[in-house]
Amino acid sequence: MDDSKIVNLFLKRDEEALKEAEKQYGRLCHYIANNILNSPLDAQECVNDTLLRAWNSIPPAKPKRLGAYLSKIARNLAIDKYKAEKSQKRSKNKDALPLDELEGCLSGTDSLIDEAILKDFINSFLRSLTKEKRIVFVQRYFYNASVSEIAKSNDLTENNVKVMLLRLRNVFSEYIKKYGL
Amino acid sequence: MKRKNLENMFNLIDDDILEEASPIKPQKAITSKFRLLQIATIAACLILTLNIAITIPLLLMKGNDFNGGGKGGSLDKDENKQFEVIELPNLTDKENPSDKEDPTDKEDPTDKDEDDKVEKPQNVTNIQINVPGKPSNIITLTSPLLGAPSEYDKIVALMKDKIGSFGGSYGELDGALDEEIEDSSSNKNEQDSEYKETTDNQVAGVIEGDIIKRSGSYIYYLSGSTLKIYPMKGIGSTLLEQFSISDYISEIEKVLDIKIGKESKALRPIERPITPIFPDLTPDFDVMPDIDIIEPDFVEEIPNYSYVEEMFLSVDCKTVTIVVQHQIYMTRQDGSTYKGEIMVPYTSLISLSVEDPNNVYLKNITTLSGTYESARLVDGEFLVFTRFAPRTEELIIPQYNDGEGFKHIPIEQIYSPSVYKNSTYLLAFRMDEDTSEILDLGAIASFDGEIYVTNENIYVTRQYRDELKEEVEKYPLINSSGIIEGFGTKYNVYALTVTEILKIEYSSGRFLPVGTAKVNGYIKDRYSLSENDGYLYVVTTDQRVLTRTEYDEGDIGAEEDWVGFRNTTSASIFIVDIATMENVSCVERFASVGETVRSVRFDGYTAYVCTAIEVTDPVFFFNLENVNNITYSDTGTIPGFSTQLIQLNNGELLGIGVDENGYVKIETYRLGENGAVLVVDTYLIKGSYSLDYKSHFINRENGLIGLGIKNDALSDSERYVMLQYKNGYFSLVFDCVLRGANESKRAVYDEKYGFFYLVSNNDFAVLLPVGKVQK
Repeated sequence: MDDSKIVNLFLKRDEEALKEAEKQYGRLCHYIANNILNSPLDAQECVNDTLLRAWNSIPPAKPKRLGAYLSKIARNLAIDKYKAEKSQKRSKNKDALPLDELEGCLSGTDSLIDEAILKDFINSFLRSLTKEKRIVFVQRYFYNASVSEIAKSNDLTENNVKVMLLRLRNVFSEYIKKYGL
Repeated sequence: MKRKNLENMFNLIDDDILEEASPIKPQKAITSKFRLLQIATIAACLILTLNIAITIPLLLMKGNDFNGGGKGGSLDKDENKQFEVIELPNLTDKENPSDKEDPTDKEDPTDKDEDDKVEKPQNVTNIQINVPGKPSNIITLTSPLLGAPSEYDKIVALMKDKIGSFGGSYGELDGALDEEIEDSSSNKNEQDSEYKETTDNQVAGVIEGDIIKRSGSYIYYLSGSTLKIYPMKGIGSTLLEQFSISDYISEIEKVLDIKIGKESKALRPIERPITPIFPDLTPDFDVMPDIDIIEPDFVEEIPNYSYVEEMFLSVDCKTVTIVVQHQIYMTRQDGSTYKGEIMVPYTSLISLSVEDPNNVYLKNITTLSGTYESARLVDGEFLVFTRFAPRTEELIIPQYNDGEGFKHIPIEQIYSPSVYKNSTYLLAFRMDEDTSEILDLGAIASFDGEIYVTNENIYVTRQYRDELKEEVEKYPLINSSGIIEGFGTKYNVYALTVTEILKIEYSSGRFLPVGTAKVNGYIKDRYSLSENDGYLYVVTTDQRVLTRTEYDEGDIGAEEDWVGFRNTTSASIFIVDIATMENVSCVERFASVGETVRSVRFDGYTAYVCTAIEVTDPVFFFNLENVNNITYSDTGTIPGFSTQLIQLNNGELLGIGVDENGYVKIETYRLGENGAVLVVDTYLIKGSYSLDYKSHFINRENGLIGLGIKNDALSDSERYVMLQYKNGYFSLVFDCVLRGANESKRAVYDEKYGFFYLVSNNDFAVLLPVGKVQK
């Protein structure tokens, strides 16, 4: 079933929507959550919460790309859970999030930046990259994929991915300065 | 930049980029063969009639006028005491005729010739299926794809089978009303051709698309991919006809879903343009030279995706044109440099004849490149705008199909600004409403913002960051002897968001870009623009980021001081002379620091602007009559804010928004005698509403305001509320159950007979005020 049909089911408040969304994107959401939480059980809980949140938000939301929509929800829920667990020092995930690698790119400013600027910035940055580099960057910092997973899914060596990510971080840092953020 | 900004940023990545990089793809779509088989099976098996009983409460109003409700306050159930609730007879959803094969439809002897013609053109991607006039005419595939005749045969056969096979009958009506309404409905010559506007168009005479349109006798409602037609017969009106275009969409997807590469006859490598169209937007960093990238042997297919956007009804009420957006994922197979999925967007206009609502049939399909942006219907011609983002070299120049095959837009019809800010085009097509013939076309490179259309001009915008150097102070330059030798200047340097507006004339029959204007800030939407009396009014949110401080110290040398990020927003209004596209007047940063523009509406020389920080807002009234002396006043800070502003007939302003407690706030404003903006009346409703302006019912003549409301996930909390604003007060006309998403809810008011018709994806209801008697 394609996205438009599933979204239509959501709009009609048909519970079949949840089944279809789970069938279509459950694995993706689980993958995202598990990469952050490093716990299949917690990740499954996140998937359930993702579907519930989608149920409560569609309508009024009417996403054209349901996969991306659910991915963002799943990621946010997992990060919230990760932070909560970390603050209570009961995180099963001892590793830092890949996003932490980008902290070095940040400048010293501390204001919250308007969403329109951030959206413009990140998308123009990503679209300025070649497709391969864009995929690697997004897989690492949005999907929180490990270097080995990225290497495998893009037919690269792990070393290639590491070098590519290092250079991409430098470019990202330059882009931030160029953009005035 | 705080860590939070970093986290937020990744939530704002465009969906197509996320999909592209998704490590786990969704389930595969049904392959073409399976889909054909499935369609055939469904068609053969669909004999059952689906009887879905829908119960809709009907509210009857007491009294001869609309002043039934209480003034102000939330809508609790107690407030409905004065309404008597009765139930309509069950409405029966008719069988979807598009799933039905017509056994009497025999092959037209001329088909064979047409099929032969199909094989001739080879290098095309778009299709155009012309079925002028009558249902018995042949569909001609004037621009076939794939070079595979068997595919065309299937499409021709499928399309042909659909023609003329959509019968229907009137629903039953109750009692004494039947005869009179039946009579008025059957007299089609008198009423069918009477176009009635249901959409509150931004510019009079420039018709916008919507999911509802109406004639004198019928309501046309677009529910997903199904066109539903309801006769306006008062109580007892029921679904007359429904026509699904989903099969056509599937076929269009199939035809467009081609392979890119050496073997492709559809997408050709382009001849290099004379001058580079796009500068190299890639950041300047080395490609890793020591890595030999091995491409995967297999890339999982991504299912195509189509979305029904909106529709238009021709002014003669004979044609409904439905706009569909397609996202086609193509696989490049040449294996030389690239392998993988790319998404290529298309927009289709599917025209249906509704001249006889009992017998709807396909007239033609025209497919254009690009993601659908918007369209207008002006004097019998469509202005269709799509956005085209080059993904591969083959697709760097936008294409179009005039029915004779796939072509690149000629270079002389691509408007190229001196500076490129992004790699997208806005494509503009002027098309005949009846035949869909493309009369003119053009591409505007690097403009990707809002589109505002008047009766003569089109304004398109783009937004980008610029640098603004602002003098702060002079300071003395002291030499080593302690003597002042002169003065240096201290500057603040801002990264400033600016909006560039391109004016395109089209009244001569050709798209003619004539000039641009640049204003500080970004615009919220097309309602932030208004053309009046030779001027273009523009309201923006001024967004500037202090990036650094510079000191000009002459010979001693300059010093840069990074001061970090400071973001301060406010609102500005500009007046641009449309003859020269020069800014002639402005009021910059009139709102408090930190506020952004939430909604804008113009009425002649008056501009209404709502700005807000979180949940408090001032509403500004501007008088723009004298460009050299712009005057304005505001309400001061009031709770809540308006997401939509609507000018009323009496010079008052209606705001739809939320209050500080999250209630839906309907509020009116007017200019007081002392020049201050006053709040006239406020009506609060518990629940949520749609941010889609077109979903609201606005009837200025009778002061009627209708909107869908939803309290929570419970179905009986999905309602439709109609208010009347009269003599400075809101009153409740009705508040009834109407299931479905708020965005899908629409209302129609039949002034002649006094009926309200409410439609959503789930329900259809007719309401008759008590005391009003059907003639």
